[in-house]
Amino acid sequence: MSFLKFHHVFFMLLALAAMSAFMIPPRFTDPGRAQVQGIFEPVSKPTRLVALWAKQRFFSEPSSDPRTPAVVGDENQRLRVTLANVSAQLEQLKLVNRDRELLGDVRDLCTPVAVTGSDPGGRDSLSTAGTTLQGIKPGMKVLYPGGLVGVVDRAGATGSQVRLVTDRGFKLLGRFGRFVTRNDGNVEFVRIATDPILFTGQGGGILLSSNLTTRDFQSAGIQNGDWLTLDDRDWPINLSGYKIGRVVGSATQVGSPLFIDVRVAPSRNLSELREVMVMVKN
Amino acid sequence: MRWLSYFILAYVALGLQTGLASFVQYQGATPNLVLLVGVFIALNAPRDAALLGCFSLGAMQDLVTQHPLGLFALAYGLIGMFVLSTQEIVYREHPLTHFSLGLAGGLMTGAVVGLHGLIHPDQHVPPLMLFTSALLTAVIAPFVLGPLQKLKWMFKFQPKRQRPRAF
Repeated sequence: MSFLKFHHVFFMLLALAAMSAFMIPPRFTDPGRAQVQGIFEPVSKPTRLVALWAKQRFFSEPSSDPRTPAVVGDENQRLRVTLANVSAQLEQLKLVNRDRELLGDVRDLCTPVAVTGSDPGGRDSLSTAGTTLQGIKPGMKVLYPGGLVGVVDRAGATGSQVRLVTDRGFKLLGRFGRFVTRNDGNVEFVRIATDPILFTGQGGGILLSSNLTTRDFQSAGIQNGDWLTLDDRDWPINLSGYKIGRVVGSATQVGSPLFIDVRVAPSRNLSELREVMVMVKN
Repeated sequence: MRWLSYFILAYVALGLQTGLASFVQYQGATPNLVLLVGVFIALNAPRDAALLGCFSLGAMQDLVTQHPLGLFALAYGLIGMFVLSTQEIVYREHPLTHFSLGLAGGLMTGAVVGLHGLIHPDQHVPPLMLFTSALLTAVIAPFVLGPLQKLKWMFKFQPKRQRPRAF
């Protein structure tokens, strides 16, 4: 007769789960779950599409504009992102003459993949239908027409997980900018003269910077609505100047009044995207 | 317990949770449908099946979340143990039971996720968000567990008793 009872096995499973959750680094456990994480797609994808339709149908504000605002808005947004991006690329290429072949719309380097669900555990991440068979690999950058989405965290044969830039602990360097109308009527994207600023994801669709001094913030004249664009050497050079989000608020830190908290949010709720573009070439 | 029914229910619940999570939320907190399925299993199934069922549900949820593997398996395993201990003393059909078990389960999940956030501060989840999530889960619990209780015959939780042979 075995001395091993069910509760022994169960407590071993609990101990294993606790070790995996608290002690074992995710890089050892992620490859396994990446292979099977897409199995819920047959239920989650239609559910998501129905929820998206219902939200647009019942909870969106009515518009008096007879044109299709979604199409015009998306195009406008995409052109602005491209303009800011290309301006920054040109700036970089003045310094680095190589990588000339990478100039242009980064969408040509991307593969579109459908979003099948968002994180059921309260984190900022997306499940996508992109698989390793399509060339999706961990670490690839993910975009949408309105800016950056995040990074592929794990990829497998059935789907992949994208960690959003707003997820807790996600770090990147960015620089502020805004569109200004010149005297000749042309619109130009101008980067505000500050050093690259570290932003950290806070969850709930927000990025926060806490290391900008109040004096620098005020002298740069940063306002709500200004763009935060990427300026991070760890990212591909052709994403330099790509839009991350807009400034949505700022407040002096309670503990250290010389510093200011700047809050940035992406233009759209990234958790509600229907499709994203994974940058498979760079 | 009929495991095929269990896996179908778990699959549908996880698919719904993954599909709806970003649309059904308040201040970033979402109700947890998978947790309620765990409570339903622990409330009705025999001891071993209930514990294994809850643990497996958590492990399945771990597959699609950004949290580390094992976090929800641990949380739901503990919830299974807790709900199992109340099996004999609660009125399983009552909405108040569903509400209180949903709240307790949500708080226990929040405690495990919160503890993980304390150890790994870069993945810290605000306590208020965890509490709101627990509260939302408790609010929808009677609407989820009530209908599930009506369908519990599909899961064959109680094994058939042998009829005494007539002599």
